[in-house]
Amino acid sequence: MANTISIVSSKGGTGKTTVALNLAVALAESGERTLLLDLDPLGAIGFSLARNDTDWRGLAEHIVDEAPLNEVMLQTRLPQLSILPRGRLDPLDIDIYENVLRCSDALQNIIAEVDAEFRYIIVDTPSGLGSVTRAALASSTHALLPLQAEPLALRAISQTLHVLQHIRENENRKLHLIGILAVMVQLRKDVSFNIMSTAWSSLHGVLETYIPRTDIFHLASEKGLPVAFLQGRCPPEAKRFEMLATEIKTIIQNLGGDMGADDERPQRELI
Amino acid sequence: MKDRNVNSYNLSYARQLLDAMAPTRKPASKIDQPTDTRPYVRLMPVQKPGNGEQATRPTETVSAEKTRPAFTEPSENFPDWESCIAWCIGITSAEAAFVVDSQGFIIATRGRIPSHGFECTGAELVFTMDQLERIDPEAGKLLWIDLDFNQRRLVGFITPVQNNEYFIVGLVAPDPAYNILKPSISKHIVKSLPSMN
Repeated sequence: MANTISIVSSKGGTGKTTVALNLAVALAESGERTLLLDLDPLGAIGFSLARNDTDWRGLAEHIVDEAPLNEVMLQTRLPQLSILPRGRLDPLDIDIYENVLRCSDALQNIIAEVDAEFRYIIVDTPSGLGSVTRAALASSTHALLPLQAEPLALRAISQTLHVLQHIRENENRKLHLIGILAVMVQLRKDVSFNIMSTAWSSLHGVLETYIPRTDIFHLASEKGLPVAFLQGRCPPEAKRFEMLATEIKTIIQNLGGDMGADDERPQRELI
Repeated sequence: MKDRNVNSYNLSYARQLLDAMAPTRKPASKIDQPTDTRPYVRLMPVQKPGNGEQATRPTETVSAEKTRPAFTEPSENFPDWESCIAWCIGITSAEAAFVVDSQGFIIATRGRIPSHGFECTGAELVFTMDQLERIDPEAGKLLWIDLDFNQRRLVGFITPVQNNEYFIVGLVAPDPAYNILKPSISKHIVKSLPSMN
């Protein structure tokens, strides 16, 4: 069974798509079969990797035209990583798309269909705590909360946690919180430093790994690549995501998540 | 001067929710721990017990003169952080050394660095440094952090800011006599800073 991780934040611009994309790449590069699912009606993953938001078919075609999932799922050049893009959704139909996701079992059915193929499904959700985000949480096994190291984001964290708790208690008992991931951290700036100081000292569940704010994310965005795929020496930011993938795998394992049978290996001979 | 105002975050509800939902990390329990659970492996050899003797570790009661490592001045500036921390380890007999930049990134390591959880130490040292400077903002820049835990000593030298960047050179469990080497370590690191950046 796949571990389905929704990346959720009530506030916009917290780096959900960046986290989802680079985490999916790090998991895939560590050998785990991973699906990156773009649930954002604006198609943020598509914008991050493609030239425009009509390049790829995806969820919209599957839901509206009943296109088979294996036809709209994108196999990347990283053998362990597939992407299910949003598809060529007309922006005028976003409310219909949201209604379908909220009122039907479409998302649960999609996840059930691909569940056996992947160890991790990373779900990139839209900003806010609206119907799509709630549908994602209702269909996920885990949630990861990016916390932008700035005051508004810290003040808003209770909202996300409140919704998470509500869904866990009323809709999806299998939903577990992985933790809060601090992103866009600038320890040299007083405000960012104070946020991190407050989060580290006051909040239980802040992950050990944090993601700094650096220009390399802009560069990667400009080139339409995950940071690990940029030319040159492996940047420390890519290392951060490798560490994040390891930390998340450990947490999921401790929470009783399915780590597959890959850990069981036959006896081998050294000489 | 740093702002000492209290911030305006009310996180009590978030704390309450997190206490109920966040995965719990098992607290270290003294009862569960075997007698020697240090995350670091001492490079210093442990004396093997003879008949009727207890195994003993070298303690700090040995005279400083006897434990003082041989001190050799570097012949020239360090070309990079790796050679700098190699020298630091050599003269202080530290188990490990590392360099952290002002963002908390560990940019160089040498010696027995534990594989798990050490990444945080960089960020926490930067954090600790800032907190310590707030104790007495009029006292100038903090130069050394010397953290004496009951099982290990963690020491950090903070370099002056150059090009809007500073570094912390950390030493894990240096020899007690490292104290008298502080001026020399500071001097050589500061002198080599331009060539190491």
